[in-house]
Formats: sequence, C-alpha cells, structure tokens
Amino acid sequence: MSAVMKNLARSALAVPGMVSVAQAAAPAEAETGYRFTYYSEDDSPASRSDGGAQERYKIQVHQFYLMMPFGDHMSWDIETSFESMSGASPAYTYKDDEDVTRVYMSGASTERRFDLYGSGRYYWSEAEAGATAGFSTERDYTAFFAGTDGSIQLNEQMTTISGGLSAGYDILNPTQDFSGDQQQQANTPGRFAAKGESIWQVSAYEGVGQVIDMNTVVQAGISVTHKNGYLSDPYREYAGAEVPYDIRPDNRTLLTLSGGARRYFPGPDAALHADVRFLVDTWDIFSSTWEVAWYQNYAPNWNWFVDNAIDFQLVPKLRYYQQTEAYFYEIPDHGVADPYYTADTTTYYSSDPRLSKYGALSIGLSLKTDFRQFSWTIGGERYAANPAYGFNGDEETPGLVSFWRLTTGLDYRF
Amino acid sequence: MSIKSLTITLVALLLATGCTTVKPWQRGTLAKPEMSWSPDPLEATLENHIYYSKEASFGGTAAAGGGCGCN
Repeated sequence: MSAVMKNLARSALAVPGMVSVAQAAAPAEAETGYRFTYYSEDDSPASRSDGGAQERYKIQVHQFYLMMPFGDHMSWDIETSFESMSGASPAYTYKDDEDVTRVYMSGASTERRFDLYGSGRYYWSEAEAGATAGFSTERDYTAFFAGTDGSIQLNEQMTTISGGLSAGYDILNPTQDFSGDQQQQANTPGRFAAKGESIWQVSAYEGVGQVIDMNTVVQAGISVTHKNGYLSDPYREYAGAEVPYDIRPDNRTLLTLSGGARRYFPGPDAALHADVRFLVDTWDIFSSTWEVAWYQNYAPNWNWFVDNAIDFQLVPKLRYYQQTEAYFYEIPDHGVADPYYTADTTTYYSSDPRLSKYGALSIGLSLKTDFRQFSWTIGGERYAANPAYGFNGDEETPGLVSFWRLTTGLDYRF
Repeated sequence: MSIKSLTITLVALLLATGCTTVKPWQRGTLAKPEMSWSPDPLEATLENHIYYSKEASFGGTAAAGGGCGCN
C-alpha cells in the first residue's frame, strides 16, 4: 500500500542535493549499513479494553543497505528489511451501555514482512536522475512500486529544482479461512470483504532547494498522491457480525506542503535541523508535523583518537504531530437498539483511532561513534499519542498507540 | 492556516532570504553529512514506516515504507 511513498520520499529527500550540496557528482566511495530495532508498544489500558489489558505489538526489525559507485557517473543501491512482529491490535472502539469508551482488541497474532528496493542513479555536473523499483511482501499483503526522480542545479548551483513520479500496486489477501463463502462472511466479515481486492496509487513530487549562505540551506516541496481501491482496514471486524466494522471510501487524494532548513553553527560544531509538513486530504483530514534535531559533533583532540579518526555525534530530536479526524470517523454506541453497522458499502464508518482527532509527541536521542571507516549508532525513541495533545478534550481514544524503540547498527565505507 | 497563506509564506521564505553566492570551494560545511536532508537513510526509512503505520498522514518529506501497516 505504501511502497510507492518510499520512492516519493527518496525524491523529496533529494531536493537540494541530499547527499552533498557541494557537488553534483557520483559518490566516490561505497557504503553499507545494518540496523537492528526493537519496537515495543504499551499494553492496552485495562480499564478500557474488553478482557482487560492486552499486550500490543512487539516488533524486531533488521535493515540492510548497500550503495556502490558504478563508473564515474553512476551509482546503484539496494535496501532491504525484515520484520517479525507479534501482539494484539485494536479491532474496533465503541461506547458501552454506560457510555464508557472501550476498545476491542484482536487476538494476538504473529506476522513477518520482507521488502527489497533497488535503484540506480546517473550524475551530470549539475543534474542527476534516478529510477527505483521494489516490493514488499507479508502473508496477507503484497505491494509493488516503481518510480523515477531527477534534479537540476541552477543559479550558480545555488538553487536545486527536483521532481519525482511514482506508481504502486498492492494486492490484499487477508483471509486464511478456506471454508465456504457464507461461513467466511460470518466468521471474518472484514477479511472476506477484502479478499482479492487491490489498491493502486500514483504520486508526484516537486521541490525547490536554496543555498542561503555557507552555513544554511532551505527547501520547500509539494506532493500529490491519489489512491484508489480497497482502503478499508480488513481486520476491523467482529465474528458473527456478518458486515465489516470498517468501510471507507475507495478513493483518497492527499496534498502535502513541506519545508525544511539546515543550519550549521561553527562555534559549537553543530547543525540544526528544522522540518515542517502540512497535509490535507479528501477524507477531511488536516495534519501538521513539526520536527527539530540538533547534531552535536565532538572530536577529542587526543592522539589516539585523532590517529584512529574517532569522533562522536549526539543527536537529540523532538517531533510533534497533530491531525483532525476523518469525516466518517465515529465511535458507535453499542447501547442503542438500532444496529450501527450496515452491509451498505457506500455508508462509510470507522472507529480506527488513527482517523481520530489527536496529537503525538516523540522524543529521541542517538549517539554515533566514528572509528576509521566504521560508524556505530545507537539510539532510542519514546512516542506517545493522546487526544489531548491534539487539543481534543472531548473524547477518549484508548486505541491510540504509545511505544518505545531502540535501534543500533553499524555502517562501513570502502 | 489556509493552504494559500501557507504557500505564500513558504515562497516568501525562499525569496526573502537575501542569498549570497556561495562558490563551490566555499561549500565544505554544506557538504558535511549532518547538513544533508537525511543523514541516516536507514533511520529515515524506519521512522517513516512507523509513522505511516500509526498516523493517518503520509507523503511529502515524511513518507513511509512498504507494507500494509494495518496494525
């Protein structure tokens, strides 16, 4: 579903010369890297969950990256990841007979996901172009995508104009029930409705980057994405209900505007990153994302450290996100007599907390240690979502996620 | 803030910065890894995938990785 967005991200990140603002040339050396991540979501709240507190997702992620120059004007790279995950996730949210908001959790499941992306780039003296293709596969979901992007430097290489186009095609296969259709519809109505469905999407990105002075560069970009197909969540269901508990429009168009700045401070030998993104879409969601990070370098001036090219970089990060709710988001009242859910697929509804009005705060800290051609990285993140963070004091959303993440890995340049 | 006023603000920020020409040999600082838009590609991929899976927004410079992200 989102593989195409990865290529779009690469285009966007390339705006003002992602790798190097100083030159538009093929990379001089190869680089490879590995990361291991342990991700752990907080348990669902006991007072708001059917059946008490339940353990939510724990995920282990292995990532690998290799980039190689190819001749004087080209490079290629591959990036792959493997995830194994287990735990329960919210199936739906409702208000009980006493108007208390509760979340019904799905049974714990174990899943695996693998993805692989490959790309090639060609570099001219003041321009570059690239193409990327890849796929992502898991038991119930397969995604393919391809894209291309390019950039050109103008105005004595002070300005970079870039753009990218991507397309993707996803195939859903959520049901593992091989009984008859009638039984599948009764037992797993959401998954049955999504059986054999697909999604296609196209994205376009346009951006401009500007060198301001010897220490400052800024960028701005706009992107448009259109998705068409089965966009409902097939796992939001209840056995015996016979109709899905999540029916969304089969079209969604998203527009983003983004801006960013990088500023180096020679005194403390540090760089400030500031990024902002605004999004509006045809589901009436408006969101904004604000991120700042401080890259603090430290190179001990002792002989052994200097001889072995050992230096350190400490990076604290802060991220704030808020969104409004989708126009079809609603927490149904199970205390009323009339059934809320319907077989009419043009009546849209979802109690997915990710479509509610909320905000999220994230803080992160990482340390990178360089040793000759090696770099060792270790870092952590704490993320917490809450309606109150999004200026929503009226609703409870017990299905929103909070998590811890620990990542470590090694890079090698050769 | 409306989209129109936001666009005007972003364009104004770019145009009103009073740029001075920075020659290629003066760009040592700009070439530092910490000055790139994404100093750690694997970290960026992971972050984008997580946020994509847990939030309703994606696209722009904070886009997501592959897969369903249904959970």
